[in-house]
Amino acid sequence: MRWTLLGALVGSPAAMIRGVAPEMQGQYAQGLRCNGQEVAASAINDNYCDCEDGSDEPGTGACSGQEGTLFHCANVGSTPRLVYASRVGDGICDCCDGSDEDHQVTAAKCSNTCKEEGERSRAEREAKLKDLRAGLQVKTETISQAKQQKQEKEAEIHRIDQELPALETKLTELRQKKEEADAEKMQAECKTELPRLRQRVKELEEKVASLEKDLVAGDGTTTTTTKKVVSEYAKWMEGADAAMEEDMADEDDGVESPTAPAPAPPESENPSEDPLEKELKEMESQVKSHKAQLDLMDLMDLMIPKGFDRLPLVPLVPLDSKSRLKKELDELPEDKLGFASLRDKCLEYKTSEYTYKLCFFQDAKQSHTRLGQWERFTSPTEAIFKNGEMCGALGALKMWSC
Amino acid sequence: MALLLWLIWPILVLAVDQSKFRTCEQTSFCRRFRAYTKEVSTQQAALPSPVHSASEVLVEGHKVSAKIVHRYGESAQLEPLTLQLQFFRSQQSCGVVRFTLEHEPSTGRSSVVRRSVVEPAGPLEPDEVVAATVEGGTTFTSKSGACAVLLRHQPFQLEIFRDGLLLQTFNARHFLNYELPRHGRATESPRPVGPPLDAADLDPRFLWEESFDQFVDRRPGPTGRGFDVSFAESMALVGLAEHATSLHLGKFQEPYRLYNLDVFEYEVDVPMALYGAIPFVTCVQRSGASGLLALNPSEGFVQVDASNATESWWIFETGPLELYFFLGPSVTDVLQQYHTVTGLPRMPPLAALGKHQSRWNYITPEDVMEVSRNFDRHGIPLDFLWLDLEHTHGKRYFTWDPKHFPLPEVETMLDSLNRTHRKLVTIIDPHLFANDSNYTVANLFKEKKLVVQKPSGEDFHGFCWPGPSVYPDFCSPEARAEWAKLFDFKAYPGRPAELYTWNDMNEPSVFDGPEITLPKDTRHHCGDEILEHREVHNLYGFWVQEASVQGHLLRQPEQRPFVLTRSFFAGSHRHGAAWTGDNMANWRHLERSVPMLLSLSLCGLSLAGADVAGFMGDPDLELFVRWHQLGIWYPFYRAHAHLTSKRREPWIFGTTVLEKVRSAVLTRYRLLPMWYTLAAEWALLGLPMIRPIWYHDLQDTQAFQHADSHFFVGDALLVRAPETGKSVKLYLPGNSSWYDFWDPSSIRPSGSYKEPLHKHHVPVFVRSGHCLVQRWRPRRSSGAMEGDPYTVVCYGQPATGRVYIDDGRSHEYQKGAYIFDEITLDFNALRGTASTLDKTKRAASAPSVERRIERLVLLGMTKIPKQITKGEETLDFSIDSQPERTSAVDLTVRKPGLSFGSSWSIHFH
Repeated sequence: MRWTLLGALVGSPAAMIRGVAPEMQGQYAQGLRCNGQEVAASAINDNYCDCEDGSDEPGTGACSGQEGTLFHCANVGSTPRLVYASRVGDGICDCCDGSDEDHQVTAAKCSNTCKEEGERSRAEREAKLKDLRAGLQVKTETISQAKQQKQEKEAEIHRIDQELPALETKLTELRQKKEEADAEKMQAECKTELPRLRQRVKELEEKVASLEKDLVAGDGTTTTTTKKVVSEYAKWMEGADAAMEEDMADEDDGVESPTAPAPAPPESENPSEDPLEKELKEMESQVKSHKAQLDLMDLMDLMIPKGFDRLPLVPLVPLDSKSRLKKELDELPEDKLGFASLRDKCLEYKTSEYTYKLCFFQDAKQSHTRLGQWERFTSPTEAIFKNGEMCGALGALKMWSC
Repeated sequence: MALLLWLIWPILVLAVDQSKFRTCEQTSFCRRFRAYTKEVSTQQAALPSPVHSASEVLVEGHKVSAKIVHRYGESAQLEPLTLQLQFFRSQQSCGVVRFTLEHEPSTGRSSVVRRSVVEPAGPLEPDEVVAATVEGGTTFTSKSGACAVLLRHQPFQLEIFRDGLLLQTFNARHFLNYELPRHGRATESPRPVGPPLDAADLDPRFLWEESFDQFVDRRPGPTGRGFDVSFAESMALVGLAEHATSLHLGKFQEPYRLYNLDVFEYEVDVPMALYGAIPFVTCVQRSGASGLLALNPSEGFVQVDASNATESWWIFETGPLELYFFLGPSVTDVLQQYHTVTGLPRMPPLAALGKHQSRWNYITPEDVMEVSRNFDRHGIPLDFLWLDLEHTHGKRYFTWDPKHFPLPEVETMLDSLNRTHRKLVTIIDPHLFANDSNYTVANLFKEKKLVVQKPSGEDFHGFCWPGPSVYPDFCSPEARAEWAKLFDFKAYPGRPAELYTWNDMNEPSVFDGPEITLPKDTRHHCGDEILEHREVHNLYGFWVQEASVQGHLLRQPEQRPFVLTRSFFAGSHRHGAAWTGDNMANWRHLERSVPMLLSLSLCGLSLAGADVAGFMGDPDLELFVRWHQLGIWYPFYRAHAHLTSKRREPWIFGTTVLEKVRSAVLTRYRLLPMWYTLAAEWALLGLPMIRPIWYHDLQDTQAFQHADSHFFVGDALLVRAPETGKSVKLYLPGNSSWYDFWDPSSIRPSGSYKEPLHKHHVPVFVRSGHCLVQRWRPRRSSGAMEGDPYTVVCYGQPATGRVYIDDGRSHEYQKGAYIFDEITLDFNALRGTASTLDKTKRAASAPSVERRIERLVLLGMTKIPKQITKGEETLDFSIDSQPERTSAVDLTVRKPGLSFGSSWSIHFH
């Protein structure tokens, strides 16, 4: 009876159709069609679902389950809302004005809480606005600071660029001076130092030769020892016990060793290494290091005249800081200067299983897994991290701020 | 070394460690009984020795008594045993025979087990018998003449008849073995000369002391109770829940074991013991059906001969020998007779039939609320969210973890859930952390001396989740009463809420105990009796659940309790739901869930389910989706997962999986009125909610071959369990027409089919001739559906159906505040008739619930009516489809203006 009455009211232009937003009411005035048929006015909101899209039941839960037609609550005093048909007439108050629950049809007693909700949401909105204003203030300051820094950085780059030709000229001059002024000195020094070093190299090479000879001569003992060591080591790898290692150490002691180096300490990584080979290696490395020393000295002599030790390096420093400054400038294009304060900042979020850490201008991590390397801001509310370990085909992580 | 570990690991995770659990051979009373059965079977003499014979047979009303004399050798005999047979009525007719055999003269006081299981069900109605002497025995016949027992004197034997047809024979093979106490510690000497007194003579080892897995059990000597029962013309023997085996009991090398144990990662297709034990079988026979309940909660073994399932032997470690014979004649009658003895099931709250979402563990209240919100976001209804172990403060039950579940947040969570009629379940296990002097719950039981004790009288401490724990002595009525008080809302969680309970680990599980349970020689104070744990083991979990249910009733007398248990015994259906424990996410476990739940259903415990989609491990997407598609047809439908498994809420795996699970869950909710009707017919009439494929078609012998893969939900719907792959072998039993539930325009006759598996559902068919009552409006929860009108769908013409409606949560239905209507469709009319489930209790009051019918869907009407009328009124109807091959027509009557709870009719012209 009640629903028929509702249906009858549809015809009158003044009647509002329950659950339909005011601006949509007009659509129903023109008559409703669904499933290729005209829907009788009496079938609208009669609590029986005739249309699959729910259009005949915008004000009841009869067409629950579809998402084509949503219930509109006016929520006077607060914000209008759209709710699913499945929420309409289910005994649970979803709209603050209680309009989703018809008191006569369902048991729910929804009191109108729109005034409170409205006040609450207004207060929340105001608080949010306050936050936003404060944020905007901070942003403006950050931008102006960033602009200033940007100018300073650009000035610095400009200054470096300006200084560079002078410095390069100076370097060239210095190099020339050094070549001219110290050729003599170098020769003098080389005369005394080089022969000494060459002598030492010769000595060492001789020693190496002699040791190699020893190695060949001592064939009988050393090779068998080496073989034994190798096979014992293999046994140890297969799970032989510590006693075997001790046996090996005893045998090692018995081997004649012309240079008698200190026995390898027990914690040494390679306790079974032949002492002869070891010494040989040591000698070789000594030779190498001396040779390297020679080369280095030659170079130093060429490059650094006394009294000008650090000068030639000066241009390198501004070049390095220039590239850093340029990178920082690129990271923050003009429209995103407000993000300057995020430099070196990270966001952290703990879920049940992981800790997510997103660091601006750096990287993003899921606990210990790197999700991506900072790429760039793609919009004021979106940034992208790329080349993560986990994303596979996706290969990138997007971060939204909402 | 590392390699070696990796090789062992997969074996550990894939299968139960069988060496932890005893076999018959490793159990002295079973081993010697098995030897005894062989000894008796191989004797050549006309009369076996030893032999039991009956004398001094007396009849008084419904009671028969006799002396059973136990002879061995030429003339030697032992003190006689006392046999009592008592005849009772069930459903206003004969059919229950209680058998007791005792050595000590009866004290008149009933045993702990009878006080726990049988007496709370109410007094049994005596059924007077008439005695008649026949050659070699005496026949006792009920007044109606339908039920009879023939007691054969020499050798002693009982033959059970219904309507003149033999159903069962007790002691047909003369395996009766009632081990008498032997005073003093008998020497474990070699077998004495001459025939054995009992099985203890065949193998006198370990009568007083028995070891297993480094545990020593000090026993009170020989106490075994063995017997054999033969079933005439057996077609199938079912029952003995819980085993992960085929529905039809058959022969394994090992007997079926009945000993409640926490079996981690149990194996399927072995007769090993699991979490619960119901020593009850039903035999489907050409002559009808009959049942046998062995009311003994000590450890038991049952051997079934598979060649024809006609023979069985049973052995229990100790306790009274108390059997109940149920004389049918139908399987339903047997079940109802079983419920006459063990009580009718507890009516669950309607919400319990909705969707349950659980995992070990949802880790914070925010996590719980987010899962709940996601169900809303994705349009999946949900009624229960579950919290496993980790919500507690260090596994101290009745507490909340202060860091992850601070009380203010718990309260917000409960409010938030309850607002949309969702409910929370928290786990409450029976082991109480013993090493915290501030844990008041444990202190209470310790101080009152209400914990299980060692033989020395000290408190028994076992290791479980929290560490060293005490175990409340649930055999003690006082301990159960104290436990019930713990559920007071003032104490837990501090104020009223829709909060329910899950009893896990109640076998009980004792990590450092023999077979992961209590040592058999621990002590219980059961009222004024002191009993060894061995005498009551299988009842421990029963009592835990009972005490929890009492707790719910104490704190909220007007609300129906809901308590889930892992361990159970005969009669646990009076308390609540059960589930099949820690199953695994693989296809074998999915398949075996069907016979396991059918077996429970045929043991009176219909409200049961298996964890969807497998507790241990991570299911692949096919298994995940298929298990949900099957799970919606379990009476109890819960998703649950192990701590180490990956998150698996339905939206985790993308929209394809989400949509399949959503459509499955929506089907469940659409059919909630049917499920609730089945729950009521279970709770008020004792009918099983799910039934084997042969249940309604016993004459169809082929149907018996499909018992593990098909099952009925009620009497109308047949579900075929899924398998991996594209199609399954489908069998539609009997001789009728079947509608495809998912596409009712497709009708086919009974028979075998190769059925393609549809992506969105498992095969489900509706037998022509049934009407199902449904609710078609998807909502957030069952509570949110309370105001919704009904849709009646009838399949075929003529057809019948039933619907049960009440308030879904209170006990008012017990006073008659329910609607139970029968719907009948014939060729002229559709009628609704208000009926009743129990004429004696029906009062005038009707529940104030929604009862409108918004729609009638009549499928397969034989002709198109010109007009459908209700009295003077013409009803609006539409023709939905007219299948080409038949003249039948499907039509929908729109808004017929009918309501349940009153009689009505509409007519076709």
